[in-house]
Amino acid sequence: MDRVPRSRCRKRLSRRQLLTTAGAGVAGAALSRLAPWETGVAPAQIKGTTLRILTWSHFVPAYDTAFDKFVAEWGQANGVNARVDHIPIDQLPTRIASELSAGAGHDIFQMNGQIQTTLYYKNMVDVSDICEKLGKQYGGWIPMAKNVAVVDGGWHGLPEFYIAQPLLWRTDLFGEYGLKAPSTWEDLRQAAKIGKAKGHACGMAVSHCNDSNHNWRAVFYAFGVKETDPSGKEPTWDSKELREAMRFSKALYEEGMTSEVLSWDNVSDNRYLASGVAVWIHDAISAIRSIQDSNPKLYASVNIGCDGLEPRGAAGRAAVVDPTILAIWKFSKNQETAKAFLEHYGNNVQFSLVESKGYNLPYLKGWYKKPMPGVGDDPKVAKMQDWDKVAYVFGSPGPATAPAAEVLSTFVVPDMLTRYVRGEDLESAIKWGMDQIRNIYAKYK
Amino acid sequence: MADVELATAGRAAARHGTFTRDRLVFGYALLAPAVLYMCLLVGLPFFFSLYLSLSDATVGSQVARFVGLQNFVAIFQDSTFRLALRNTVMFTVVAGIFKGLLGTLMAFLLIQEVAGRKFIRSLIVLPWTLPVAISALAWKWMFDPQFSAINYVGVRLGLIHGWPNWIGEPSLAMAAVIAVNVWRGFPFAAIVLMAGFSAVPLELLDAGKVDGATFFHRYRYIVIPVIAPILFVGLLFDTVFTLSDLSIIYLLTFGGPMGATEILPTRAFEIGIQAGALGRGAAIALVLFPILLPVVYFGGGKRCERGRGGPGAGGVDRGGGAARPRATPPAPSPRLRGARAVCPDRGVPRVLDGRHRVQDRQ
Repeated sequence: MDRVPRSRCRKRLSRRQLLTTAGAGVAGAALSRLAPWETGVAPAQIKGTTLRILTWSHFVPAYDTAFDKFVAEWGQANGVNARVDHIPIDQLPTRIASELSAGAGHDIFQMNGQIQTTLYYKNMVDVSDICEKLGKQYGGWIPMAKNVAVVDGGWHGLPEFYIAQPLLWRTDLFGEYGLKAPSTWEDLRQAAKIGKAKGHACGMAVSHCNDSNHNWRAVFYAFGVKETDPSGKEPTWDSKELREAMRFSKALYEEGMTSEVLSWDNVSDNRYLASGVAVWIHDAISAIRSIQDSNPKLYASVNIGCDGLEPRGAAGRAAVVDPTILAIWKFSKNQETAKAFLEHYGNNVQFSLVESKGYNLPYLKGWYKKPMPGVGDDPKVAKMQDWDKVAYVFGSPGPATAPAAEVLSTFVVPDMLTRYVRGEDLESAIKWGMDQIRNIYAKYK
Repeated sequence: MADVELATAGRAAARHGTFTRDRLVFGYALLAPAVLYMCLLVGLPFFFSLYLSLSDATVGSQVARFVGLQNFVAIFQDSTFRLALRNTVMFTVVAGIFKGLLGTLMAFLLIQEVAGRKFIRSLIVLPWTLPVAISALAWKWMFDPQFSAINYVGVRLGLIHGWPNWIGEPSLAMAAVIAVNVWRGFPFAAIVLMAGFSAVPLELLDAGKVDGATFFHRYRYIVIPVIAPILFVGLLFDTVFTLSDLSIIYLLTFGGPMGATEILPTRAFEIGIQAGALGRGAAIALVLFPILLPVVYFGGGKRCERGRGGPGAGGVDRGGGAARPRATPPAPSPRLRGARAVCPDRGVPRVLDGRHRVQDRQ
């Protein structure tokens, strides 16, 4: 019997062999990033399945085209017949409700603005594994993400992106009035007062529209108003901070706006800025994107934000944003396919940032590394790279619960403010608002 | 002989019985699709919403708990709901009055013999045939607080002072949504009335004229009694359409400002669908049902029944051509004795007799 030479059993690695082995290891590790499960290429069992996604018609129309292509390419690469349906944002809640009632429809659906995870979570697939993995991979989620997607400790949707509604102010008019760049809501009030006298009133909708809900919450939060306790179960609106914020808001309306804001819809402020009248508005950046080509001079004169953030109020700075999440129906027969797509999207958030030209902002902290893709390379929107520090969602500091969503969808806050600015007594307007809010919360107990 | 007669009579009776049964079966067979349709598409959803209104159902929950009348109690405690109820009544009544007035006026104009009558008619019905989203969008632009075409024209003509915010001021906003509803709806009223006017016999009107009845007398004492069944059906349809008109308000004001244009359908949509509280939303939607049911049953049912034999309801010939006269003939004016004399044997104006055929004067 041949014996294996001792020298062969205890083979010593030469320096060259060591380097070769180490190099191969590093290369292997690097290549493993290209493995199907790492690149988002789905496992074999999803081949031949279908995937239908329901989402909104984006305010940046080019993004819809890009997203459709993104989905189609993923579908093609994985042998999945993938399709996206876009509907207007206002129709999403109705469609979601009807799909659940029918127990049929899309596999993945989007909640946009009006987040109702707490209402639907029992019918939404738990995607905690994906979200936790993405969180670890990209430096964690910003706090707001949990408020929109987590119920009973589980992630029931993938936080997709949020839409910021920053201050958009006219540098030329501020210069003309001898004003420095604004930093606080008080600075904006002074600018609006001067502007209104010169035919350049500011504008924030005080009406039944989404912008109104979010913009006035941004003011109220900056003055320290809290909607609920941290659990989200008890409303805490009724406070001295609310009174202070209401007084300020009325002064801002009377001194710096015209009554036309009482009938504005979501695009009125865009038109108002485009008309060249507004000294400032508070809206999503679609307002400046729409004038970028049609009126470059006006576009050049508009600046975003205060000190790279939102205006400061008595209690700090706050941006109340429009959140979106992607969720999977439990009735979906293609849950694995849907989960594979969500993971793919989560790993490719840069696509969303670039294609939306900074309109979509991410929930994952890792994407805020400067320069942010799609945001950092545009000097105008580059100022929004710290938005994660001021981003809040309705219902804060608690989660975006069903009653908080109902307070939002029934426009209690804009109506309470409208009553006050139209001459109703402060306490009476607040009492009306608090009665409405208490009734809503009582229903869910 | 008697036996033969009896046997013949028995066969005839049997034949008659079979014939009646066949007719009955045939009749029910013809009715069946409509009944099935009503049961499936109206009855089932209605009873389902009744069930929802008595439960705490939400959009996300498959299991609902019976809560009795709790939803109804809660909505009546809500000031916004009470405002919506008031607005609904106001919206329906005021819009109904204007649609009636404008529809009548338009119907009178449309039955005149003028050149291009058909073209004019098709133009008039355009608002009614346009998709509501398109017309609401056009009106939204006309009411726009900044670019309002109405204000622009009105101010230049000196008809409007200042720059009214049509959908931003509570009182103006309600007027604005009513105006759009009237604009969309009055062609329907005009068409219904035109159909009614064509059923009024000329000789009655001529007799009225001979007796010296003024236009308004002829309208009050001849035209209205004749077209009453059609008027009622038209009114019923219009009331139902207006009460459930979600689209115009949803597209123009979304219930604002301060709930000034909030009506029951918009409130039910906000609470039941947008906020997901199906039970309470259903309760809001069903609130008008107990009010409308007796109106439709006692008013609509009786009226239609009365009108069935008359030419006003389309001149249905019931078998032998002798239609049932009106249960309560309208009291003729002293000035219309001549008209009454047109058919003195029946004691009622001849126009109300089913044997008198409708004259189409179009």
